[in-house]
Amino acid sequence: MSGVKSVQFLRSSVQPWLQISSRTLTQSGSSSSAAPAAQASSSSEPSATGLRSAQTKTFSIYRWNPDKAGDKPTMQNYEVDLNACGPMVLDALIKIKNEMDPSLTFRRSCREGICGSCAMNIGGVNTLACISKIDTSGKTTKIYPLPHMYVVKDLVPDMNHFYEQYRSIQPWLQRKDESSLGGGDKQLLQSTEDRAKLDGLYECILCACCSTSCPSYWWNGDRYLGPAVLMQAYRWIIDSRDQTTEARLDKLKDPFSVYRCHTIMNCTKTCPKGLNPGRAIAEIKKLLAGIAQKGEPGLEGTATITRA
Amino acid sequence: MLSLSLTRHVQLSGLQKALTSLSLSSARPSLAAFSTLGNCQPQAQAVQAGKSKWSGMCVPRREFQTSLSMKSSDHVKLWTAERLVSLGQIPAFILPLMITNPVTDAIFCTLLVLHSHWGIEAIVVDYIRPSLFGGKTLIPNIAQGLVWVFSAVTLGALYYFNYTDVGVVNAIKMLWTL
Repeated sequence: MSGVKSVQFLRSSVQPWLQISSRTLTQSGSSSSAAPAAQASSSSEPSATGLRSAQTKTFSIYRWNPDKAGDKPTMQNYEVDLNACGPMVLDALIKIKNEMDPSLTFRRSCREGICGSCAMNIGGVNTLACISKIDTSGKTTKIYPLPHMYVVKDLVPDMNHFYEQYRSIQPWLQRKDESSLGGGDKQLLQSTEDRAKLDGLYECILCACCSTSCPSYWWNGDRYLGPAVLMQAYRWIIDSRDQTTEARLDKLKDPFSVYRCHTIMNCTKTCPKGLNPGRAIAEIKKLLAGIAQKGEPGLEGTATITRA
Repeated sequence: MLSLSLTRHVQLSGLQKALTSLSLSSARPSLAAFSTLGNCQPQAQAVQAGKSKWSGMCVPRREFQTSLSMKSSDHVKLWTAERLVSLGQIPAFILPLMITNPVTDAIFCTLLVLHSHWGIEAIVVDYIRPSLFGGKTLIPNIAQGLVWVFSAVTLGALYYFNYTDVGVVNAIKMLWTL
């Protein structure tokens, strides 16, 4: 709630300045944009800057309201002036919500591709709205929620099942001798080479773009763990400091957890962070089959924690 | 939710653990504790009160089986066999064309049918799955049985052709010369 309040405060404090600037910019411009009551920008009026003509872009957005009994999902069109809008799809969505339709519902948080909240299907591709540029070719951009997920409202999918699967792989470091770590007073040593094995794995933000692009996950999502969760499973399997590799692999041996992956590679193609879940799953299969070995840790033992 | 799962965990692991120490490892929620956890409580109340299905703070999660709770059959050997057959098919495609005799013919046919069998089986498992039939496994099982019948008949027919006629590889060669 405090976030909402602060945003409102920000807007009320910024708007007068915006109006002044728009007036100074459009001294010889049209009277409608110079009128004090005019909004800084609106789809039905000329661009706020007055320097560029409106560049209208249509967004066709999936809408479904759970509070209306018997409501069917529909596509709703919104016209946005790109010259009065930020460059990313999330900017357009926020603009639509702020200025046209406050009922439009979507998740967003960091607006810089690090939180994974705004994962959605934009123009047929699962990606993050905040880091995908608006297509300026003049075609309508269609925006759907992540495919084959239960929809809570509009562009908000139900992620509970996905998180439950993530929990099932026990995504934390496990040691056989946790008492020797001094209750958090010691740090585990790891060689540079072993640390490098985690690159390309730990960066995953769990936005679920890959899992929801995988046909195998669509059909067998109740039993197949999906690329995002499997890549995190591999991240903990391959960590030189983790000592439960066998147990972790043992849990993945059944025909569904891993082996529903048919190397379709949609996961790797769609990943907004440029990671490669398909390769991670292949590495799990290699470890399971004994074709590859995890190997001994390059460095063992602990060191005291240096506190700044 | 956390407090719920923790109490559940304590019940499961017995009082001993709870009494001795709630160290980090014992307080860590076990998989069993979470899989027994049902839908969120406020949600159930909201539905009972006749409100909107999603009006609660949280939405119910889907049924989810981890590999632990399933009949855990080992798929590793089968996967290795699939890869070996795929690898073996490279020479098994070339060799019969160079040396054509009943033995190379048989190798060619066997690997081909094995490969196609696993491929079709994967398609059937993916697309004729229990969740489409209300969780009942009857029709999926029949479909998978039919795959076995289909593969067996195919292999038998190819062997029969090899035994009584010119053989598969010679047939391909004759087709090529047409």
